[in-house]
Amino acid sequence: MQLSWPKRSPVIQWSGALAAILMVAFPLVPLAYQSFLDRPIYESGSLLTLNNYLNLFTNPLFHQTVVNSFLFALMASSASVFLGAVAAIFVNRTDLPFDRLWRNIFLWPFFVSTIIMVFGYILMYGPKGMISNYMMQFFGFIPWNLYSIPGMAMVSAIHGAPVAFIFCSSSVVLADSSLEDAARAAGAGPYRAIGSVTLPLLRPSLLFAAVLSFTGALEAFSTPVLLGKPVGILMFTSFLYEQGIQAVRPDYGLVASGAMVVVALVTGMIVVQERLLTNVRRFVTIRGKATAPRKIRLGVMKPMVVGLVFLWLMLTIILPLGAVVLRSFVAVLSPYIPFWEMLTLDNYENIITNSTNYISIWNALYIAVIGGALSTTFLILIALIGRRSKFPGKTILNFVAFFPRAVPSIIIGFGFFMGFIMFPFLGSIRSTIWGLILVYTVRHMPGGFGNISAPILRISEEMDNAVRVSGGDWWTAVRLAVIPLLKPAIMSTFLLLLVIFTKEYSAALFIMAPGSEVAGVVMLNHWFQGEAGTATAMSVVQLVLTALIVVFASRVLRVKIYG
Amino acid sequence: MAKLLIENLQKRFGGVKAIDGVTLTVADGEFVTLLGPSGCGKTTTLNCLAGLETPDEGTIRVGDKVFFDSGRSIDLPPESRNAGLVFQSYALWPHKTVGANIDLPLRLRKYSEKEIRERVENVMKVVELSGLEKRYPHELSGGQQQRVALARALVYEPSILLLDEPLSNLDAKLRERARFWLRQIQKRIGTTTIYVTHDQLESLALSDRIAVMKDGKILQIGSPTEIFEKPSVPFVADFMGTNNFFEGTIQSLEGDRMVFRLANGRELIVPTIPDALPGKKATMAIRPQNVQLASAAGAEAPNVFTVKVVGGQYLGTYYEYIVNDADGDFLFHTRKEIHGDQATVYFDPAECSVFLKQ
Ligand SMILES: Nc1ncnc2c1ncn2[C@@H]1O[C@H](COP(=O)(O)OP(=O)(O)O)[C@@H](O)[C@H]1O
Ligand SMILES: [Mg+2]
Repeated sequence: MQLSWPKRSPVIQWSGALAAILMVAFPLVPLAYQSFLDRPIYESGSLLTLNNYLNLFTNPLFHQTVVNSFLFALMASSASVFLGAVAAIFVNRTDLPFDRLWRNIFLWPFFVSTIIMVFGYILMYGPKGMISNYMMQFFGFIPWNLYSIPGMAMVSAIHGAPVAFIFCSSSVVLADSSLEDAARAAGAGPYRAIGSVTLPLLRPSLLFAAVLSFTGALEAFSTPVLLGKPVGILMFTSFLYEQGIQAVRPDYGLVASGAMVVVALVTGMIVVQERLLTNVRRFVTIRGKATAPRKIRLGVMKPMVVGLVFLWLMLTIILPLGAVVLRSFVAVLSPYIPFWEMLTLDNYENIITNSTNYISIWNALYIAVIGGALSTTFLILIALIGRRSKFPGKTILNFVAFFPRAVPSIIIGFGFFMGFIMFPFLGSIRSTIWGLILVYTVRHMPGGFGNISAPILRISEEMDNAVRVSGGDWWTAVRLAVIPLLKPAIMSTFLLLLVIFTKEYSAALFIMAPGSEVAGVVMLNHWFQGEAGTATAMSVVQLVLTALIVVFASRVLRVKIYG
Repeated sequence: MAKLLIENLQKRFGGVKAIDGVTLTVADGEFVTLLGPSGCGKTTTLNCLAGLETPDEGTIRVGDKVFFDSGRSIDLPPESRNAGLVFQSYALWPHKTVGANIDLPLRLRKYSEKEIRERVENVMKVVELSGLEKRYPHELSGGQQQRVALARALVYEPSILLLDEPLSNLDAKLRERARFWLRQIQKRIGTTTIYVTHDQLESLALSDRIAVMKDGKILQIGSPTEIFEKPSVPFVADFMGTNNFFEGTIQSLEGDRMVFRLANGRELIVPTIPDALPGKKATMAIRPQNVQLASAAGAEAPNVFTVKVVGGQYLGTYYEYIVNDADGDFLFHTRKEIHGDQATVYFDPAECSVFLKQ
């Protein structure tokens, strides 16, 4: 009796694992190497040195950067956790009317590129912003400063709040009201019950969400670059951007050592995260499993709460996005000229007439859809090897697949830039869209891998074991018994990567070439050159495309984006 | 169809010895049950036979095929072993119809369409499921699912059939019928079968031989009657339903009988056992249903004594009483209700098992 080729499975496992390991090592090894070289990696005669690190640590600019980054991350993470937790409690645990609507609007920033949100904030709350102007007219001064660390932290918090919201919502404490009911039965009022039972039990989840968004803030790019850099407040990412891209003669040794320091810091944060997560898992349940929790009646407070929620969402999400849309349809947006006198389609015409503009939008879309699909396929393969095989290098593979978490996008991009220099035979893909897809795949490997891992582990191993004893090899088993059962998770991972790839652009900064620009970078350049109209018009096109895809996937295909 | 040889099988999970030196020979066509409490290593043993787990040490041979040999670094992957495995959860593929579940092993073996059709039809008849090919597993009852799982394992005529508690998910009534039916099928097709269960009744009803396991070791192998009537260690006796144990000392030997002195001073006549010597410590066991009510008149005969009734319950076919003799409680079953708080009981020496202390 002839069974299917016995050697096929090890070949697939080894190639998948080696590909993943090489892909992750490709940017990181040259990066580490460059950080110890006395001259750029492409020059000959270089010597090993610690001078880059010495220069970095004696550079006052870097000192300031470290302080700024930590202040910013601290403020941003506490604010985003506060927002996320409050929203989660109101949406999940009170009889707030239209809760699904509020929830959806609250989650919008997750789907929207940060750069677009920041445009909106500048247009509304910047020194010449519309709301700032009203403030000026009424009070004679503007009670906030967007171009400051607290201002940036606020923007970052609103952008990071959806993740904290989702995390808190999945906590067992919010999904199940029995503990709170017990407190109520013992005589506590509803708010007392939340305060003395729910919040303390939520604390581990909150702490984890805080560390998560702290890491996120350290990696943020759009906010520091658009709001901090113009007034000289540098953060890690904008420091690297300034030193590595904007500098006339970039000091790659300095950039590389700075990148290494950031990677080390973020790795430290992740270690803390892991510690906390094992603690938190006990408090987290798979959503939908528990019965619908009892909801607290808001009573006479209801109209006031609804009003506040509406006002908040209006001010922080709807108006800024509206401002982006409005800006894209006018020649100038100024408080002194009514906007309806300035209406124009010139900005959109600019997109069509300038090939860089429309190609960059097309590229971003192409990378999101085609790259997202390729990336999903690859990540499923390595997740199956890492989670569902007897492959001997499993542990290493799983570690490697999660490692890029510690590497902010701009650094991954810089690493690939170094890698392409070190291995010139790969240079031909560097300047193409495929190079970008590769960079994005490596950067977001942990997200995709993690998203698909849990559903894989939920499928009973007996499903594939049954194929094995029936006469199929490993590959047949995962193909016939695991992948078909993973379909919803595969679609959700694809949609997640698609959204992330649409938003991503800082990973592309170092390696794109004419013809392979992505929308985010082009928008950023337009903005810096004072062409806000074109930048916002491109934003609107991207927003509409993202919205169409997300709505189509979730409504028509019924894909759930969160695992 | 083939003879199965397992030699000194070892498997460790971290610090836990899941299988600790299992040696077992199963004759061609024999039905052997691995019986033991949960966690004693039954499933692990079965998985090692199927190739789903890799043992640390030992050999496994089926017929002239070496499945595993740690000495020669042979470890056939599951797909090359041609073993049939029925999982405890059945593990039917939920996205495939019954027909597709059953014909997959044949497709993997590249049988012709015609042969696939014939074989599936045939096996569906054997498991009495004809006509359900188009259904999905979730549209079947538990009993039907179990039969689909069996059909899937039988359809390619495996050299050895492995069953992991296949009846444990059925309700009590159905389980009895399925037991009967399973035994008939196995007799008809004659495949060498290893059956795993923690239910001693099931093992008695089904097996040619039973291997009682504990902590990864086989404690006793024998026919159902041997295991039931001549347990070699207290654990086996306990597992086979004896739950009255008495500690004591051997007093004297008298031919095929000996005097056994309980801790409370009572002397009982019990059967002699090999290696028995006066003064040796031993454990005596008797099943509750073998304790008899004696008429008060015979109270002077050996092994007859009066006990205090501590409690009792009516269990339909019999009454179960907890009684106390000096300082020890034990159970017994009787068809007659006991009135009053005293009873006189009799231990038939032939029904007493004695085990020397290690
Ligand atoms: N994959 C595993 N990892 C760690 N320990 C295991 C694993 N599988 C089984 N064990 C341990 O091995 C022992 C035997 O398990 P198992 O063979 O499943 O027992 P049974 O089937 O008799 O209930 C148990 O102590 C169990 O906890
Ligand atoms: Mg088991």
